[in-house]
Amino acid sequence: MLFTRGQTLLIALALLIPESLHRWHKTLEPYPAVILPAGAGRIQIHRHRVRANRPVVLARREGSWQEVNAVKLMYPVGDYFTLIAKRNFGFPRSKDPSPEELADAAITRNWMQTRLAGQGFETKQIRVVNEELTIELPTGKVVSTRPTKKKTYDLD
Amino acid sequence: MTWIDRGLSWFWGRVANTTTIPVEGLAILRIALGLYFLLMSAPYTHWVGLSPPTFFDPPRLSVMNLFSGFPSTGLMRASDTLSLVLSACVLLGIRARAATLLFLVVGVLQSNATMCYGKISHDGMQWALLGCMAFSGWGRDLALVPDKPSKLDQPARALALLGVCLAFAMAAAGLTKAGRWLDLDLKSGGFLAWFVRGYFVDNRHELLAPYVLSIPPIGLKLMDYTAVAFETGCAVALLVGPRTWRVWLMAACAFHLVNTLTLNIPFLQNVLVYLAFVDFSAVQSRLAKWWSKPIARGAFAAIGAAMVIAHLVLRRVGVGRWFFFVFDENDDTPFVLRVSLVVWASAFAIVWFDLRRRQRERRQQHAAVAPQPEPQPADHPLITP
Repeated sequence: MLFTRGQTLLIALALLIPESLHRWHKTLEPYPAVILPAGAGRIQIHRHRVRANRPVVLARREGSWQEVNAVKLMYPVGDYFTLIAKRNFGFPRSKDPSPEELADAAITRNWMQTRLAGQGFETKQIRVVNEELTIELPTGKVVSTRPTKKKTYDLD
Repeated sequence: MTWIDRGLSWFWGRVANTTTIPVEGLAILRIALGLYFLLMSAPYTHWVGLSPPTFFDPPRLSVMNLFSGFPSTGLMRASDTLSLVLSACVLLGIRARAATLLFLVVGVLQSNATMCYGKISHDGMQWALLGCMAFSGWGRDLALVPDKPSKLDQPARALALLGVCLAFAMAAAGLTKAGRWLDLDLKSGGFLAWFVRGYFVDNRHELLAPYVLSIPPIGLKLMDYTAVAFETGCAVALLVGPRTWRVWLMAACAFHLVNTLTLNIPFLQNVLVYLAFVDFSAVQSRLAKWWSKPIARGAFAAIGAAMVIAHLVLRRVGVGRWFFFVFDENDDTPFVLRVSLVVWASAFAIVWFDLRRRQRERRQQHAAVAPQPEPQPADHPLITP
């Protein structure tokens, strides 16, 4: 036999425990673990239309709010933009943040300002808007765009 | 022997029958893995140290919780350099067992650092491959400083364990999908959900992506069923036998090829996991003749060293990246996807050739043991002189 009873048990535990923790609660997933992306989400088609949500970053240029290239803004962590934006870019949530938290937030603001300026935007504020897209099938035409959530961050 | 032991004996016997290949060919896999890490997935993590501190959000069960923030750029650059050198050691077969294990440890720590932005990328199979192959004996042949024969090297166990890890991970992903995707409702879709997010949110518009919406609803539903059957079928194929397993590996390459074409998701890290089960011993024996010449070994060493030096120099001047030295997925998506297509198509062809070779050998074995026809007498009326 390739593996003894005890070794087989160890292998089973090494595979099952991380998978179980991941299924129980996503935030409990250990890393590294032998887990492949399941991505079991579904989308509903209603009257030949589907809906999708996308976060959009806006900043002011020549007085008006315009879309910022989020991948360039966050490079090279563009893939994680949605998650970072959901966490309010990690800015302190409490009303009475500690000096360390304030210092960290200042670094983040400065980092964003440099990158906004690099794309030719004003650097006072940044806005994250969650847009709900309605897409027609099978043409793929975006028939409507509706902002569902909007948050503005002062960077100065 | 208890029923548990009988069951385990049957299970591991089936797995070993499916996954065992000659150890000599694993040297080719080692070289392919070294090239993969130097050309298509080069250790490149120094940017982590440039991230603003408020982005730091490590997974709860990660070694990164021991840190209060992102590691410094200097530390990450040093780890990149160490990983590049270790990749070259794996490629060239310089104490490959130790190099593989050290590369695994450094690589996992680096990956931990890159996953502190609120999301875990599931690259566990890549680390499982390294962990298993470190004990496969892949550093004995075509190696500049070969590993000495050791009891630690057990290729049959290494490949069986890798097969079980792959089957488990695939089955877990497939069963999760099965619970939500297997229905007769043409007004919902799993594949469609992946596509809509990729196309309309993440701007993945390359290759055949613009044509996906022309697929009729029944076609999209069939893609959901196919994905579930493919993923859950891995464990079944592992237990059925070598031929079914290799057919499944071909299906896996085709699956990733289709994903690259339609969803623009290459997931290249799985390619060597599949190729680990291909018997490369014929290629190895051909290269062994070439390997006996000192000039060939010298050229091989020079190529490995040149690749590491090229990475370091290009990074020093600010243009180095992780894909073919100067490219990456953010800036050069079309190039990365086209190369990925070639890699998956090549992997499909390699597994197909391996399957055909096995079938040919099997037929020859059958022919060798089959009873020979009786020699006909010379004056037989059917035999013309």
